[in-house]
Amino acid sequence: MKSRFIYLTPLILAIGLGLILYTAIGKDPSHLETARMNDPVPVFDLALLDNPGTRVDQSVLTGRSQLLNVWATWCPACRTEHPYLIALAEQGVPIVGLNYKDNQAKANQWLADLGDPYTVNLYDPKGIFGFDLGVYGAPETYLIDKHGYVRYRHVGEVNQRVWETLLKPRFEALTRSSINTK
Amino acid sequence: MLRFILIFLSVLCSGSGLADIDVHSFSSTKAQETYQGLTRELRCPKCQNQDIADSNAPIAKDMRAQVYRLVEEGKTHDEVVDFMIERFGDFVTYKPKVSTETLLLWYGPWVFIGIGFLVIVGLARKQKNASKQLGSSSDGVADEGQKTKQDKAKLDDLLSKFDDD
Repeated sequence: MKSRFIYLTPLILAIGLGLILYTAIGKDPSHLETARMNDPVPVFDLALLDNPGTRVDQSVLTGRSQLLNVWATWCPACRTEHPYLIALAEQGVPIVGLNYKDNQAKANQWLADLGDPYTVNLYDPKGIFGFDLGVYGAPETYLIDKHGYVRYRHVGEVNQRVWETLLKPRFEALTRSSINTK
Repeated sequence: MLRFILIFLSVLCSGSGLADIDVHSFSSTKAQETYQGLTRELRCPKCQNQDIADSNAPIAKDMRAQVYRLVEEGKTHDEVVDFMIERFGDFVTYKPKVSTETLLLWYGPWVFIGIGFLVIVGLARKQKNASKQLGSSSDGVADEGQKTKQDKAKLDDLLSKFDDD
């Protein structure tokens, strides 16, 4: 009886390994959880894109749940997602822009040509705040709660599917919880 | 011929002009070694499976610049790694720290080697026991002989009973 069980061990090991590997099927290996998850947004001091004389700090990301969208004119996927961001802004979703390693004149021209979905736009030409936040490419979209904590990050384009399945449920949960705590 | 050599040499030289190499001057050789070690140990978040020394992605370039700045400020190897982990997560290092999450990663192989060793010891012991039993086989043969004798007696007994009937 005991020796028979020994012959079964390779089968059992194979099934176990199969189950472990099965859980990884369909997972995107390039998906990285942000290191700033559930931490406050890093301290920053940046000029506004459309008004270089005005400087703002991390307090612009507090007060209500909002999106923080990292974008640049050199980024093709940013152009693709731009119309959808405008649609979201029209639905009343507050979006703060982080213009990342870009040229100020080009960026302002882009907004004039394609429309401006952002409530404010932070100008980060050297990517200093982006680096502190852990941005490694554009576009990235962060979900920031009303206390200025990072609650989610999406790397890549925001479109209908991403919004409906990933961002909207989390955004609505944040908005609900902030209403309850008021 | 001279022309050919000149062309050949110019082609050779242009290669170094194409490569994306940062020019840094270090305050000490120790700082330089720390920098070189770190850029081979830190992983590029954009182009996975490349260290930041090897990658031309903009983020890898930024990370190299930050590593250079921190090393020149006198930060130690571990402080720079912590700085990067704070921003990009454990993913960013090829040598993750020992924590409850990475315990299996660090010690799992040793556990498996230990299990394998125990199995080998167990099998060896079993085999030894088996050969021991075989070693005392002279008694076994005697037993066997005894048994056949007993069986024969029993059989004779039974047969004789049939004969009686």
